[in-house]
Parts: sequence; structure tokens; C-alpha cells
Amino acid sequence: MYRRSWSPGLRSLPVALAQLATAAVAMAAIEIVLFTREGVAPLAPIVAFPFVGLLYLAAGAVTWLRRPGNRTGALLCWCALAVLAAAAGNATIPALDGAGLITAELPIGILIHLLLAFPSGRLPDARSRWLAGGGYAVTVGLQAPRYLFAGGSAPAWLTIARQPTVVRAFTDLKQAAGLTVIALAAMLLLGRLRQASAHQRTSLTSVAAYGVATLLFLTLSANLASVMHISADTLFAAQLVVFAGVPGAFALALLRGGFARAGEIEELGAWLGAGHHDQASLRTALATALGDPSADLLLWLPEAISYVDAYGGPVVPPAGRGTVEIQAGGERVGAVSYDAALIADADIVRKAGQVIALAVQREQLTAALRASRARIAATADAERRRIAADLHDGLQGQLVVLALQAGQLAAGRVGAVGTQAAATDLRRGLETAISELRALVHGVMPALLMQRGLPAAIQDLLDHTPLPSHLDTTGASNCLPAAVESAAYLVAAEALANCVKHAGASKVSVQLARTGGQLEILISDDGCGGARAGPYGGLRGMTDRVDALGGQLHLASARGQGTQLRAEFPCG
Amino acid sequence: MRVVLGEDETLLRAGLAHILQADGIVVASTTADARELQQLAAALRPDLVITDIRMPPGGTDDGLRAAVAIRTSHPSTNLLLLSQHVNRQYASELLDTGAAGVGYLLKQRIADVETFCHDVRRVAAGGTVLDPDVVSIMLDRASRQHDRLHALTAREAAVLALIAQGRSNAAIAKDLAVSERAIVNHVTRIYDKLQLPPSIDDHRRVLAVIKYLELHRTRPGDQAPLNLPAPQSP
Repeated sequence: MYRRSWSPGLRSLPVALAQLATAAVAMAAIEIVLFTREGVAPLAPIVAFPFVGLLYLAAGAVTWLRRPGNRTGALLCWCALAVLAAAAGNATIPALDGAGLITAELPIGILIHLLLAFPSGRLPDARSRWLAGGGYAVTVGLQAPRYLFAGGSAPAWLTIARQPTVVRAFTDLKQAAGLTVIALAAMLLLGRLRQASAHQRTSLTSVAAYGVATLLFLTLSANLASVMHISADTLFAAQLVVFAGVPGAFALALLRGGFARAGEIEELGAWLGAGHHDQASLRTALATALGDPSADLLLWLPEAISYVDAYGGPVVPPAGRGTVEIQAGGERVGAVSYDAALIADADIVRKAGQVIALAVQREQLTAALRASRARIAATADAERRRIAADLHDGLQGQLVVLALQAGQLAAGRVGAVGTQAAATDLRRGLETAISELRALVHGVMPALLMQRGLPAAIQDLLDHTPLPSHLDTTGASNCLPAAVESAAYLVAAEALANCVKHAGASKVSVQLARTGGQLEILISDDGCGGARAGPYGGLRGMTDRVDALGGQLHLASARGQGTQLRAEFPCG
Repeated sequence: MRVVLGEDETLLRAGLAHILQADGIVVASTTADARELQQLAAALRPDLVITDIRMPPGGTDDGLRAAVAIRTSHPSTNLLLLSQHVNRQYASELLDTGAAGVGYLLKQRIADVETFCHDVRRVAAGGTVLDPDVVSIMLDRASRQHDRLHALTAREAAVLALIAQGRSNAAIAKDLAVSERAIVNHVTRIYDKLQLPPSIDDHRRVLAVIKYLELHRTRPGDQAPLNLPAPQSP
């Protein structure tokens, strides 16, 4: 599993959340026991209050686990603690009562924070940070006179004086300031909605609308209730119900909204830095980060001019799905294929692609290497098969026939007169078989290459090339590594065969030079040009061979300009 | 006629010696080593040295190098080189020691015992015998590289190729299915075209081959470079 391979810090997240949940449940249990024993009224909504706190905690924990890079989960948990603290205000124990009074409005401040920070859980700009700070100032700061000057209605340890007019003035100020903050927040959210993509707008609108409505309701419901003559108990119950709906709304919007995965993508980056990954685990990580289980990672293989899967097999990005190209260093290294119905915003896929680009490039290089090795192995195998077939179909058959002829001779079945002619036939047949064997051996490894080295072997190639030719071996030497010699010879053989077969050249020249620790072979013709290294074929095979020795192959073959093929080999 | 034989494959060495002796040729000594071959040639001064090209101690072209060294120190020693495969470069190196009394044949030619013994005697007598394979490579290449070679007609070129292989007029006539008289006419025209003065016939035949091959033989450095498009840097 992808998540299990995350950084050690993240692996401890479930443990931390379990501990937090245990503490919160214990706190809620103590409160409920206290409320029940003290017989506070109205009992039902007051007992329900800590449960609302637990609801926040549950939503927060789930969100935090599912989106570890997103702070919304943390904010919901923080709100859960504030709710539990505020609920404690209903107990008669002075310490708890006081704590409840201090934090009575804190959940509303956190709600404003949540709303402003949605969907990433982070406050994105200075305005939202000021507003969130303002929310806390109003809900915590302006709440202070409510207990400092409350006299008998607050625990004695919190009260410094009894000033009902001050309390009333501050209550009004708090409401006005609160409404201002909410209005400003609503304006800010409206501005954000306008900039959001069509797909995100639905989720953002519902969360913003629900959040602002809740805030307005919590702030104004007391006034509303007094106008509509609703009892304080009913009002409290209604407030609790509306407030209890908040965590679910946030969590659902975040997890199902198909957006706000920026944090996930950062996690993806952290995971990439943490250890070793292959294409399969990269794919899983990508799918998890995008929240699209069907997301697939395709590697681009330039020489095959195609995408390939982890096994090097060619793949075509499926039609009807979204495809986003991944680039590293300005070059295409791969692509992400994703469910366009699930992820409407290609930008998030592009971002994820950028994060994994370097890892994808490494996988791409590995895939290219694997493909090249496979081609070399396949070429060697094909060569062995060809030799086996040539030996079997040609030589073996001939030798059987010759053995038969010899048998006839031995049995004296050809008559005295025919013996000489039959023996001559037999000799000629053997000579043909020997010639064939010689050609076969020459094809595998030319004797001159072994006896005299590269320049002589290439001269021999030119002797057998039906074109006027010129060989320049200035500065070339015979002391070359055998592998380089063979590869250079095969490059020359292939290039000369192409000159004759495809280029329609009238002359050809080969230059062989050794400069420093490098052997360079250049084959030029005056043919029609236009040669291209296709995904398969001779040129591809040459490139693989040269690559395998750490060399490079350059092809210049403009139409009408002849073909120049240059191979460079490091050779110590 | 005395021969020293160099061949590292025991069976082939014995077989060759047997064939030669059966044809009345004296095999003065045999060896499986190129260095020993040089020593034997110096000590025994045979008419002809027959040797495989790939020989110990190096196992590459030691036989050829020994033969060239023998010829350098004893120019009157004739050379017949045998090999599993022939190439123009070895033929050129051999001809560089002088085209008279040299031969270069594929090993498989031994199987045609009669022709082979004939070739051996021809080389020992100062003639030139080149394998048809190497002659065809040389002639192909010569005609590719030099336009003025086209002065010889196709038939004349074919006749010259057969002369280079050491064939007599009668054998060439039989090969080309024409009268010996016709071949003599061709040969005379070849001499004229190659501007060879009248002299002893056999000698003229060798000269024709040398002249032809030397005119058209190309070694690195002495050929006209071809005019090709300049390579483009990629």
C-alpha cells in the first residue's frame, strides 16, 4: 500500500488521532456524567452538546487521515476541542463553567477560520489571515467582558466587577463586529467563487453558503428568537442542530469534491523523496494523490515513438480518458491517463505530473535501457536462429546428399566407367558445401577482422561493395577493444549495405580515425539521403550496439544530400 | 622439384604431402609453425614454399608474413599460399614481392588434385596462380575504380582473369567454349592494349597479369580519393 510507505511522521498520524479521540471521548463522558448528575435543564440538548463535539472530532479525524496534507482535518479537530470546552460551561463546577464561558464563542471563530481556509485548510492570503484573526478577536476577545463584568452569573474566579451596561454594550459590539467579519468573509468567498473552475464552483458554493448561513444563524438567532417568541431551550436545540451539520458538510465537500488535492500532491513529493519506487508504486501513489483509482502512468520511449507500460510493451493512451503529458527538462518523459469524468481540472493532474516528472524520467530511462537490452538479446537470438537455419537447411542437406553419393560409390553401384564422374561430382558438391560454410563463417566473424583488425576488415568490405569507394584510415590503429572493433565493423557493414540497397549511391567513402580515447567511423555516400532510424530495423540495431558500448551514433541524411553516418566509441 | 610445406592441421599436412609426392614432387620438409618454416626455407632452399596463411605461433596471418620474409631474403623462392578464405589485401601483399612465381589459392582447391598439382608446378616454374575468387574481387574493384580499364572488352577481361588464374590457352578455350585460336587472338589484343613488348610467351602472360593488377590494384594511399559530399556535423 502506498500510504504505508509514507514518511515515519505520517505513519504515526493514526496513533496520534486515536489518542486525541480517546481524550475527547473521556472528556465528553465526564461532561455527560456531570450534566446528568447535576440535572441541568434542558437536559437533552445540553447532553447532546458534547456529542456534537465528538461529531466534529470524527469528521476531523477521517478528513485528516484521508487528506494528510490538508489542514481542514486538523481545523475540525481543533473545533471539536473548542466545542467540548464550550459544552463544559453547562456544568456547575466553577472551573468548568469558567472554561466554558471563555470558550463559549470560540467554535464560531474556528468556523470562520474553516470557511476562509477551505478547501486547503490553509489561509491563502493576508486578507483571509486578517479576517480569521478578526474572527478570533471577536469570538474570544469581545467575549471577555461577558464574564469579567458579569457579577453573579459567572463563576467568582472570573469576575472582576458587575457592570451589566458594559456587558450589554460589549454584547452589541460583539454582534456588530461579528456580522462585519462574516460579511467581509462572505465577500471574500464570493470573490474566490468567481475565480474557481466550473467544476470546483459547485462544491465551493455549497460549503460557503452553508457556512455563511450557519454563522449568520448562530449570530442572529437570539434576536430572531426574541422577535418570534421562541423559547431559549428551543433556540439552543436549533443552534445545536445547525452547528452539528457543519463538520459533515466540510468533510464531504473536501473528500468528494474532487478538488483541493494540492496538499496531497505535496505529500506525493515528500513520498518521492523518502525512498525507492518503481513504475507500479509511482502509479499507485499518483492514483491515490489524484483520488482516481484508474489513473495510469505511461512512459514515453522516443526511439519507439510510442508510450510503453512497465513491461516495455507499447501502449496507446486510451481515447475518452484525459491524458496529460509529463515533461522533464523540456522533453516528454511520459503521460498520465486519468478519468476525465472524475477529475475535471487537468491542472491538478499536470501539477502531480510535475512533481513526479524526475522519477518518471528515471523510469523512462530504465524502460529505454530495458527495451534496448531486449532488442540486443532479440537480435542475437535472431542471428543464432538464422545461422542454425542456414546450417540446417543448406549445409546439412547438402552433406546428406553428398554422403549418399559417397555411399553409392562405395557400394560400387555406379559402374567402372561412372566411378570417376561420380567422384568428381562428389568433389564438386563438397567444394560448394565448403564455400557455403566459408560464407557463413565470414558472416559471423570475418577472418580479416580477427587477423588484421578493423582497417583491413573494412577495406575487405569495400572490396566486396559494388561501388567506387575510398577508405581513409589516417590515425586509425589496430589496437582496439574487440567489442568496439566488432561494433564498428557491423556499423560499417550495415551502412555499406544500405548505400547499395537503398541509397542508390554512386560512390561511398569510409573514414576511420582515432582521436584521444575515441574511435570515430564515418561512412558517407552521395545517394538520395532521407534515411531514418525507425523503431526497428538495421539502424535501430546499430544504435543499440553503439549505445551498449557507451558510444554515439549520428545520422545526417537530408533528402538529396547523401547520407553521413558517424559512430563514435570510447576506447580508452 | 623440391617443396617445403607449412600447414598446422596434421591431417591436411599429411594429405598435401601425399598428393604432391604422388605427383612426383619432392617434399623436402613439413612444419606446423611459421617461424620454423622460415628456418627450413633458409636451410633447404626449396623451389617452392607452400604454406597456410593462418599458422602458429600467432594464429593470424603468420604464414603470409613468413612467406613474404622468405621471399625478401631469397627472391628466387617461389610461394604458394593457401587459406580458408581469400582477400584482395593479402593477394596485393604477396604480389608486392613480385608477381612471378607466386600463387594464392583457397584450400578447398586442393580437392581438384589434378588442377592443384598443375598449379603447383606452374608457380614453381615462375608463373602466377591466383584463386578465381580473389581474381574476380580484384577485377571487379579495378573496373569500378578506373574508367580507362574499360579499354578491355568483357571477353578480354574474362580471358585475362583466367590467365591470372594460371590457365593455359587450351584450358581457357575449353572454359569459354571457343576455339584455342580465338583465345590466342584475344591474348594478342590484350598484350597490345597493355602495351607489352613481344617476348617469351609465358613471361608475357605473367607480365599481363601484373600490369593489369598493378594498374588497377589499390592500396590505401595510392588511390585517388573519391569526391563525396562533405560530412555534415550533426
